[in-house]
Amino acid sequence: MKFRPLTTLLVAALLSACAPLLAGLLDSTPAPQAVQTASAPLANTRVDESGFRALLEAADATRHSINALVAAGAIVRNSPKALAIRHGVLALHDALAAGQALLDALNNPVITLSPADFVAKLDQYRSAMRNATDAAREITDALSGAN
Amino acid sequence: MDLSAIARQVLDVGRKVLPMLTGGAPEVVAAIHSISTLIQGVKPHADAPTAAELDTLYASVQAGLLDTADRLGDG
Repeated sequence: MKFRPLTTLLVAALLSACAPLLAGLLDSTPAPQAVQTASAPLANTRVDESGFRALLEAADATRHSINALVAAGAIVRNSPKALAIRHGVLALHDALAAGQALLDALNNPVITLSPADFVAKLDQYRSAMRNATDAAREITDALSGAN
Repeated sequence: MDLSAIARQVLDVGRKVLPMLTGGAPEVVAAIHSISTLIQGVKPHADAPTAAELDTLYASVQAGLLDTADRLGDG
């Protein structure tokens, strides 16, 4: 789809302005935490999923913004900038996949983890969420970089 | 002014101006809609997501990220 040059610039400017905001929103996402304290019976302990949902929604908004920029011609496919953004997008995909797998293990109603395993997986889950935030930052850095 | 207030102002401008400029280009409309959803979601959700809702959202976002990667290049 081709927009007039002025329109393309306006679209790119407005959506690019949203990208740092998305990164900020990701940073403000609450850290994952167990709903109950570690001293509570682990069989009844679940990890709060709202932070993960916020990350998914941020990732969705980010990818829609990127799609719009590509469609507007503000990002050229296979350009260095596009490939840098692509690297961040795939890193975000991988971090979310790791986070989902760990969340499934932590909140599995059938399999009860030992306290040590629970704490270890919770640490891994936090690490996956940090990786997702780092990937989002990589995307916004690439978006604001030169073509 | 907090971050979400700034984001809302950006979106207010974008929501009014972009559809007129682009004739409602679907990519732009989708971007504005998803960012709007995100910012509304900054406030804590009233209810925790069900496992099925989270799984559906997860599958949709992951497929979307791979689609976006394809749009950006071949790697």
